[in-house]
Amino acid sequence: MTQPKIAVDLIMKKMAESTEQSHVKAKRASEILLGPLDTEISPTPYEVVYEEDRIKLKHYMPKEVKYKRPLLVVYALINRETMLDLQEGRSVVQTFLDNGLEVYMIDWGYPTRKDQYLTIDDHVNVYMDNVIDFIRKRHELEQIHLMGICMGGAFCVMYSALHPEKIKNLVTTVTPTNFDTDKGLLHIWMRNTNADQMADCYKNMPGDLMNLGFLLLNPARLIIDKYISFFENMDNKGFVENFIRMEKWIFDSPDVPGETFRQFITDCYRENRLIQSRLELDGKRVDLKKLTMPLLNIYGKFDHLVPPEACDKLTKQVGSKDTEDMCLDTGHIGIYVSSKCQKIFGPKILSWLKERDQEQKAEQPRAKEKAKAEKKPAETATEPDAAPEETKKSEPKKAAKKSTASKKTAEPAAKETKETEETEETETRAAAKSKKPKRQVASSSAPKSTSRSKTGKKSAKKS
Amino acid sequence: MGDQSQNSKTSPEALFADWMKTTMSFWEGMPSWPPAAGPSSGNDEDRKEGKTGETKNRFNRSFESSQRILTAMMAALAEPENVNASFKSLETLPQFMMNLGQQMMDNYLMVQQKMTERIQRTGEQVPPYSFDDIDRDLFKKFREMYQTEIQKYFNVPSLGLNRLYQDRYNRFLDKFNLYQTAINEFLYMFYIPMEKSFSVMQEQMETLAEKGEFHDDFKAYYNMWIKILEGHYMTLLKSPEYTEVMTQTIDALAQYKQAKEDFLADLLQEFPVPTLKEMDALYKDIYVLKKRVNDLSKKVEEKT
Repeated sequence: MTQPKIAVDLIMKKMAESTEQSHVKAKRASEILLGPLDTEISPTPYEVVYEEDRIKLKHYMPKEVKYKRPLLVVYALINRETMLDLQEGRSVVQTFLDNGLEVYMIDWGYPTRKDQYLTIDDHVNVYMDNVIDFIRKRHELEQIHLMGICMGGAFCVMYSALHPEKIKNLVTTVTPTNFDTDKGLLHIWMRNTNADQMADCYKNMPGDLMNLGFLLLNPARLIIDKYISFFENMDNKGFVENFIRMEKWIFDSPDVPGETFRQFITDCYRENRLIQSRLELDGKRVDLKKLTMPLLNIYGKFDHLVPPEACDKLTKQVGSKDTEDMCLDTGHIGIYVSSKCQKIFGPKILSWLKERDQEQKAEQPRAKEKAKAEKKPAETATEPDAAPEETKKSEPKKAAKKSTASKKTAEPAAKETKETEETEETETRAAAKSKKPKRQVASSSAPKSTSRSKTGKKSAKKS
Repeated sequence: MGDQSQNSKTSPEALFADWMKTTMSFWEGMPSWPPAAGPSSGNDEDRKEGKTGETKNRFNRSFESSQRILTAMMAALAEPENVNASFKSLETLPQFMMNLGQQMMDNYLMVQQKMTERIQRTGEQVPPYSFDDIDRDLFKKFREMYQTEIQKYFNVPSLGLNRLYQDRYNRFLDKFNLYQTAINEFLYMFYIPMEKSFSVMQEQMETLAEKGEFHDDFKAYYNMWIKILEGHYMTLLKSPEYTEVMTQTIDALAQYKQAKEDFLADLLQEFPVPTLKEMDALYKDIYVLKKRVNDLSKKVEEKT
C-alpha cells in the first residue's frame, strides 16, 4: 500500500482538535469579555495647572525632583498625548517621574468648529508661548526643557527657532522636518491632497477621516491581521486589556483645526519650507540657524509615517553645535510603547538632559537675568540664547553625532504593526503612583479663574 | 374613389377635426353660468343686498371668457393646416423619447460590454504584484456616460424666484452621483489585492500539494496569505493610479459634502436656528476679536 501524498488523516485530526480548542477558547473569552477589565489609559496622576480655550496643561510631579528644570512635552494635534502614559510599565511619563524629572504636558483638547481659524502661529506663538511663560514664571526660571512628538516636534522646532531664549534643551522625537521624501506613503498622499478644498469643506479636518487614512497605509495588517490576532488571543485577559487600551488610544482622534491643516500641508508637505528656513509664522521667518540650544533628535528606523529621511536632516540645519541623532529599530508608535524601547528611549532622554541640566547650576535667578537683559537689550536681541558664555564654551561639541541603537532589520510596515499591537503582560511597577507627589517648586501665578483637575486640584485658567 | 373618400374620412386628421368640431359645439352649447343651483352663500342678508347677483355676474363673466378662449383655440386647431401641425408636434415627443432612449441604451450596452469583458477575464491568469491590468476603463466609460448623458440635466439653467434653491438642489444631486461613481471605483481598486492574493495563494497551494507539502496547521496558510496580501497592497498603494483614484474620491466626497451643506442651509432657513455659514461668520469675528484683545493685553502688560 502506497503512502498518500497529502496526510489527509492528520489534517482532519488537527481540524477536530482546533474545533475543540476554539470551543474552550470561546468560552473563556466570553468570561473575560463579560467580566471586569482594567482598560484605563493615562493612569499616572496629574494636575491641570493651566487652561486656555480648549487646551490644558497637565503637570506630573515626581516623588523627588532631581532635575533643575522641568520638561514640557508637546504632543501632535493628531491623536492624543495619553500615548505617553498608556499603562503601567509602558509609560514614558512614569519613567521620567521615577527618575526625578518634573513633567508638563500639553493636552490640545478637542477642537470644535469655532477653532477652525486657528493657525500654526496660534498654536506655536500663542498657546505654546503662554504655556512656556507660565511654567517659567511658576519655577522662576529663564529656560525650560522642551520635548516634541511628531507634529508637536515640528511645533517645538518652530518655537525654539523663534524663542530660543526660553528653551534650554530641545528633544525632538519622530519629528518630520524634511518633507521632500517619497519614502513614506503619507508624504506622497499628502502632497496630492487638495488641502484648500479639505479645509474649506470640513472646516476642521476630521480625526476619523485621518485615522481611516492611517489604516489604509497598511490595510492587510491594520484592518485584518490585527483583529484576527485579537480573536486568537481573546482568552488571554492581559492581551485583551492591552489591546483595548491601544484601541482606545488609536481611535481617540481629535479633529485638526482647518487652517492649521491647510498650512501644514501647504507649507510643509508641499513646499518643504521648514527645513529650508523659509517657513513664516505671522510674518516672522522660522530660521533654523537661530535654534542654538542642544538638540537630541530621536526617530524610528521602521517608521512608515515619518520615515528617517524626514527626520535626520534637522541636526545639520540648526545653529546648535551640540546635536545628536538617535535612530531606534522601531516604528512611529513603538518608540513610545514597545517594551524594548521603554528601556532605551526614556533613559536616553533622561541621561542626555541630566548632562545638560547640571551645567546650568550657576544660572542666575530670573529677576537678575531680567535686569541684565534690560541693561543690554541689543545683545539679547542678537544673541537669543541667554546661557552665559562660559556655559556655552563648556558645551560638548558633538556636531551631528549619530548613534544607531542596533542594526537589526525587518519589513518596515509589518514591523511597525507588530510593535504597535504588541501586547505583552504588563510589568508591575514598584512606585506607588497613587501617593501624592512631593512638591519642590512652588509659587504658581495668580489664577484668573479655577477649574478642577483629574486629581481634584485647582488650576490657573486664562480666558 | 369611394375608398379614397372613405379613407380621408377615417384619417387621423379628419377624425381629429370632427372631434374638435363636436367639442366646440359642446362648449358653445353649454348654458351660461350659473346653473340652477348657482354659488350662493345662502345668506338672506347677502341676497337682500344683491351680493349673490354680483358674485354670479363675476363668475359668469369669467366662465364665459374662458369658454370663448377655449372655443377660439379649438376653432384655430380645427383648421386643416393646424391639425397637421398639431399632429407633427405630437410626433416629435416619441421621437425625442426614442433619441434619448437610444443614446442611453447605447451607453448602457457599452458599459454592459465592458462588464462582460471583465467577467470573461475572471478566470484568467492574474500576474502577482502587478496592477497594469486594472480595468479602470469601465469606470471611466461610466463616468463619461454620466457626464455626457445625465449631468447636463442637472445643469439646465433654473428660472424664477426659486432659481438659486433649485440650482443648489441640482448641484447636490449631481455631486452625490459623482461621489458614488468615485467611491465605486475606489472600492473596486481596493478589492483588487484581495482578488490577486487569493489567486496567488491558490497557485502556491497547488504547488505545495504537488510536492506533498500540505500543512496541517491552518495558521500557516493564513500567515502565508496575509503576507501575500500585504505585498499586493503595498504595490497598489504606491502606484500612481491608486493615488489618483484616492485623490479623486476625496475630492468628490468633499464636493458632495459642500453641496449637501449648501442645500441643507436652504432648508434650515425655514427653522429658527442659525445656519453653519452664519455660525462660521460669528466664529471668525470672535477669532479676530480675541486675537486683537490678546495683542492689546500684551502691549498693556509690556507698558506696565
